[in-house]
Amino acid sequence: MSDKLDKYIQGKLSEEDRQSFESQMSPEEREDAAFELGVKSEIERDVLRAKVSEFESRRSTGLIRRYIGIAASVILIASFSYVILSDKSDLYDQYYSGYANFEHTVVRGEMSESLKDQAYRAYDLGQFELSVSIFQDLIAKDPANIPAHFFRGMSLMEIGKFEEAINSFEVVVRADSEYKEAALWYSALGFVKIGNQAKARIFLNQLIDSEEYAGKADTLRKEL
Amino acid sequence: MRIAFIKREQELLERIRSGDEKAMEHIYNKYREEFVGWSKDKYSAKHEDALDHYQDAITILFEKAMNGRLTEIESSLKTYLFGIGKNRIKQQFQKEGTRASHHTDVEEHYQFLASQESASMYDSAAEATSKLFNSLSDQCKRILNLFYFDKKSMSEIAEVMGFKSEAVSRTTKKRCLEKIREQATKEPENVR
Repeated sequence: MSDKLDKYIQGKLSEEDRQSFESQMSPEEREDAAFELGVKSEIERDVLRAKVSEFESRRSTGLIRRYIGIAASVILIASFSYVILSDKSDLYDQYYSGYANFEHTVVRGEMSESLKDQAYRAYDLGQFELSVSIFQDLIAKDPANIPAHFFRGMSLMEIGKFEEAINSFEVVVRADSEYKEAALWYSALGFVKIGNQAKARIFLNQLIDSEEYAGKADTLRKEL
Repeated sequence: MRIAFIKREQELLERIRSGDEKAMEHIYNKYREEFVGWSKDKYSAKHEDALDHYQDAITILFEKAMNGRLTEIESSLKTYLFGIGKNRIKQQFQKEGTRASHHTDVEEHYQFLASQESASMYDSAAEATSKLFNSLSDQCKRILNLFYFDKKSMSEIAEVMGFKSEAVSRTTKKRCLEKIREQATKEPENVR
């Protein structure tokens, strides 16, 4: 009985059980129940009020943090602007060239085209917005698909989304694949483009032993 | 579109019902600015008052959701929330400073509360709790929160509190309620 009363008070009974329980209550039980429901309503409200004011205070500390963030980036932009004014970002155009796809050749005219076919075909045709989203689908299916990360990054570079591209390349660099050096190189170029030369240097420094990129990396570094 | 929207809101309500704090915070932040702006524009409320109204309204919304009195809403959470807010603001205009009783709200579920004696017991229990809760021992506060807010069973409370049996939970809870009960059952004229 007391177990059922608990459930009744806590609102855990079904509609039907609740009604039949109520109809069987004695006057004393009604009084007890009314008392407990009153206590419950106040406690619930109290706990919820405390939570709500916690949400409010978290909100204001969040806002302060956001303002500090904005202030910090204003200072950063100000201190970098002289670099941008000295026009280092056109080094990007000087050094950047697309990366040809040798990863996957699509045979045209085949009946069924896999997702992979579609992605590389879009890339080969220069439809980079499209290839970004199809590579994304491939990654969703298999997050360990490193070439997909790399070519998604390249597609993003082509449409000017450098930060996102750099994020994709980061995955490639960490995985230590055959695309690692290319990913380092294009990350460096991405950082040049967004005006973060310190980061660009860090990436270029990692290419000193690269057969393919050491020369370019060295001259670019000197020009920064 | 509309169906997906309703489904999302139902999911949120379901999460609040189970006490999910993230869902609560999400809703709190979602409507805060709009509500505060609205009560400033429409009712010329001061900023702090507008914020108070919002916090009251959202507390009521959560309370209703947690008690399953809000499982299906015809319009949207937002309309519902602003509806509560409107009532709160009007109530405040009518009787500044008095404590609003909300037993009429629970009557649909606890029908016996519609009777005069039960309703007044309910109200005085709530009032006594608000007066005395903070002066209870920490153990009592914890047990009462576990039972009335987290809706834990007596055996679960025994486990959390490290009691030997659910019988211990039950007697401890009863003891904790005694003080509140004493205050609640005092004749109103003796209180003053």
